Amino acid sequence: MSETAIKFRSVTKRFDGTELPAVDRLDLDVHQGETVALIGASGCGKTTTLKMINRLIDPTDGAIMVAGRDVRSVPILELRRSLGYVIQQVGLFPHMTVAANIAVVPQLLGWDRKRIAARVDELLALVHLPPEQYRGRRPAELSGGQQQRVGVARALAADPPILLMDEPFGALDPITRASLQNEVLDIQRKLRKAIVIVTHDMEEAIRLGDRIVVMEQGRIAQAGTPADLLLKPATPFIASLLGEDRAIKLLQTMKVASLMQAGGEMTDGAPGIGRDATLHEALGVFLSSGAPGLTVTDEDGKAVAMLARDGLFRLQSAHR
Amino acid sequence: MSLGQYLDIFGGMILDLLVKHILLFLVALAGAALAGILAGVAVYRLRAARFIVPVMNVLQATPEIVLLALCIPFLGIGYVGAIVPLFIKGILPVMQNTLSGLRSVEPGLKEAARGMGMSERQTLFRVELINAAPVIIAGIRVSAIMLVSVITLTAYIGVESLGTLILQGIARMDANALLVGSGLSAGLAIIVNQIMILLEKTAMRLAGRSR
Ligand SMILES: Nc1ncnc2c1ncn2[C@@H]1O[C@H](COP(=O)(O)OP(=O)(O)OP(=O)(O)O)[C@@H](O)[C@H]1O
Ligand SMILES: [Mg+2]
Repeated sequence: MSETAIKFRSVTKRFDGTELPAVDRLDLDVHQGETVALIGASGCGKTTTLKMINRLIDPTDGAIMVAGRDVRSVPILELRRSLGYVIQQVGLFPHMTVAANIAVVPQLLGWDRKRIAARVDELLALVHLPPEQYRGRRPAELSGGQQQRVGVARALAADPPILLMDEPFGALDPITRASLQNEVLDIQRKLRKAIVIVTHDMEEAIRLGDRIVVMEQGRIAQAGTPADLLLKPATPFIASLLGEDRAIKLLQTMKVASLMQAGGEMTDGAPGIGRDATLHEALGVFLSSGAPGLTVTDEDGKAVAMLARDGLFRLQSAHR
Repeated sequence: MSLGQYLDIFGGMILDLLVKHILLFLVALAGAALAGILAGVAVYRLRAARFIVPVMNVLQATPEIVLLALCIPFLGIGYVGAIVPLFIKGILPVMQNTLSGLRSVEPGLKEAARGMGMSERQTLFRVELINAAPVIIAGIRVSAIMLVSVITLTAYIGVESLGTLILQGIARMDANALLVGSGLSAGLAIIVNQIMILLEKTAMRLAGRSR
């Protein structure tokens, strides 16, 4: 694994006048280039965990390191300006134009005008808002989805290596939400940030997270890749979060390449499937064709292996 | 004497009193607005400044005329004695609105500002005050309307204003003086109100609350 971007070392947060800690001896490493999704019931400590990274909340106990430095040893404004932050309620400044909103951190960092203007346009293009059309608008003149896009652009403005997002797409309809999730995936493929994203939505965690951290009452109930969780949910609660159809979600997260058998017996006339397709797509082909096996093809359409229907059905039991 | 004749003869004096009235008003209002905003910000930001609120409430409950009278032993009669008590009365609405305006700025905005690395002062000036501006200006409007009429009372302590005409009217049973004095005061109040409403709308637009 690459360099650790964020390290939690036995971090506890106890708010004044509360019995139970909001976050309880949390240990977590987030690597550069990795997206970690924090999920759990309301009040389990997700936002608190996130805000301790940029010191909007200070831990009662334990230590947090960002890029190898204890956050308490970095001047607080410098720390915050070096971390991208998308808050739960978007929080665009209504009195500023879209461009001025995106320019906030670069301005605080003292960039010159030209550089800021160029950066604003670059970011608007990145989040698919044509700059000529949008840079001069006020937030009130944008749709909810467009506001969220500007929120993401604003967090990326000074090119921070780390991005903190608190339920960034919470209030959006499913279609807008899915398209923004795709944009985040896209941005992440290009920019390789360390992203911590808080969400209520397991589908979102599965889609965006390289790893998912399930929290329960301030503790980590389970952490692992989406496939880890889907195969072996640690508790009934986590299983219920994942849903009855978790076997199907598992197929969505896995590629044909992970289950195909090279040198497997090729049946003549078996339907083909690309090796980068998901097992879910393969299931679709099995269902519609009734064939017991599929021919797996590479990018050039050359048959390279085969995928047995029975393999799909053994997937769950193999890991039990 | 008809109103026409009255205006003919006393026109110059009326104009002079009107100008003095407006000047007095502007000085008292500017002072009250500034002090009110400062007090509001202080109470919002500093625990130690909370005592200002009850003090201002007591002062506000004191009738203008009593306040004017109370100031005479300390400030004498004349401009200072007139302006100071008025200015004090004008502070409270501005302070209250500044406070509630700042407190009602969306928490998300404050958090975004802090989270992105604005200092407390940058947050105050770049985010909080601008977003509270419409509410603050509404407070200044309340002050302005009150001050523009209450200033007539300063005539009692010998400061010239439109109040002088009203006092003369009462003393001499002169309907013309009463009419002109009170009519101009009322007119001024209406104009001031309209100007402030315009300012409020501009501030709303600048704060991005409407298009
Ligand atoms: N400033 C505070 N003072 C006291 N208690 C707090 C404070 N902030 C959060 N808490 C408590 O800490 C716990 C965790 O809160 P947190 O905001 O981290 O939850 P969350 O997982 O983000 O929930 P949600 O999904 O509803 O946003 C809750 O029980 C909450 O009531
Ligand atoms: Mg939260």
